Amino acid sequence: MAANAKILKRRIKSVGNTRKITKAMEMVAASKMRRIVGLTLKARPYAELSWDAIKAVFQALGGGVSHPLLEPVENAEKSLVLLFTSDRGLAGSFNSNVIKKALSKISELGQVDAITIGGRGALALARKKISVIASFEGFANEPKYSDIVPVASLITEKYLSKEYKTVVIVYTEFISALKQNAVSTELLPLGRDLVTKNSESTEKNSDKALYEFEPNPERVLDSILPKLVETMIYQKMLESAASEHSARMMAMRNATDAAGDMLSDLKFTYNQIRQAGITQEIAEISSGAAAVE
Amino acid sequence: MSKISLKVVTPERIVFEDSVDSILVNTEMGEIMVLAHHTPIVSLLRAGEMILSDNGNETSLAVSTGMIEVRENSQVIVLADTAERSEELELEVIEEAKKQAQARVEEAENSHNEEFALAAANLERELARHKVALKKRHR
Repeated sequence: MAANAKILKRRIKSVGNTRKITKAMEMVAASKMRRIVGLTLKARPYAELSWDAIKAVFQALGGGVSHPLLEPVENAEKSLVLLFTSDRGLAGSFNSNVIKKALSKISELGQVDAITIGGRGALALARKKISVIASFEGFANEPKYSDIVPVASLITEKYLSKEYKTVVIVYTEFISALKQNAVSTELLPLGRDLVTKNSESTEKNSDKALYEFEPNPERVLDSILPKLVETMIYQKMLESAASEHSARMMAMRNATDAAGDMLSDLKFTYNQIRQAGITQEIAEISSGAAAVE
Repeated sequence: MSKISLKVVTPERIVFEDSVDSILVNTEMGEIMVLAHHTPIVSLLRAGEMILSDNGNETSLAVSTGMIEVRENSQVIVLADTAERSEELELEVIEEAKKQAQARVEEAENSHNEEFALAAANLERELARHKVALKKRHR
């Protein structure tokens, strides 16, 4: 009886400590998430203004726009997948969802090489024997624009050397702190998305004055398009990081709640045992006293 | 005098957003001065100092490569890879970075073109930062 109470007491203590840790992790994840959501908002104007500039170039050039980053590669077999996961676990179903999405996309694409950002994705793909040509780690805690510049230049370079027919990003879309979606989207060629956006915009702003370009529209396009690829990857990285932290925050909140429930259950049982012990002792004493009389 | 509404944007944040009288900036075709009612133009930037004046007060920014877009009705948008106000720059840090960039250019001189171009672009950016930071100190 006494031993049992001792074991229970030890468990109460250890569950209590675990709860402290999960609570702290929840708060850390919440503050990181808030910061990254702020960064995402700050990054938006650049992307929007780049699109505006590209639209202007399209207008100036009329229909005859061509750039290797806009064209699909005709005779390439392979595709490239860029997968965003986290470096660490304890983030609920965050990693497993996005990896599942990636694997289904990969089986759809056929022959695939992958670039991973985040250690979890690299491990998962290696287990499935998918060739990972590069993997990067340590981005999600403090996402910086300079982090993704080498990633973007690697991708652009590979695409321009006509090795891949398409480049697909698989990441987790941040909808709210409670809801995130694993999605896949085509990064390259940029054309498909751009052509539709462009046809909308020309209708709307056909009366706008045309720009002059220095040195010429082609050079401007040449310098904007790779930047756009960088910006798109940067935004996906931020979204993925925000999703990771909010998924971790939710997972940790659930763990904290579960630990709380378990604690009150354990305390109840402990008190019952303690009370039973006391009652028994009293019964023993009083029956002992009765025997003496 | 009518003003220009200027936005300086980098991928990470909006660095400057205000109205100014004139903008002096380095482009690939040379230095240009933008005043209100400038004709719409899109031009590629070179790393360098960008000087904004507003009622005689000058502000300088160190910008690296990017582009400047002058829209109708005196709106100007600068999309730069990096841009810093002079207040944000620290001379000591920059001098160190400049030295490193110079060393890298010398190292890359013998290797292939791409590496040299990268190193040279890097040096150009640090030089621009240096110039802007020095200005702040002498003020």
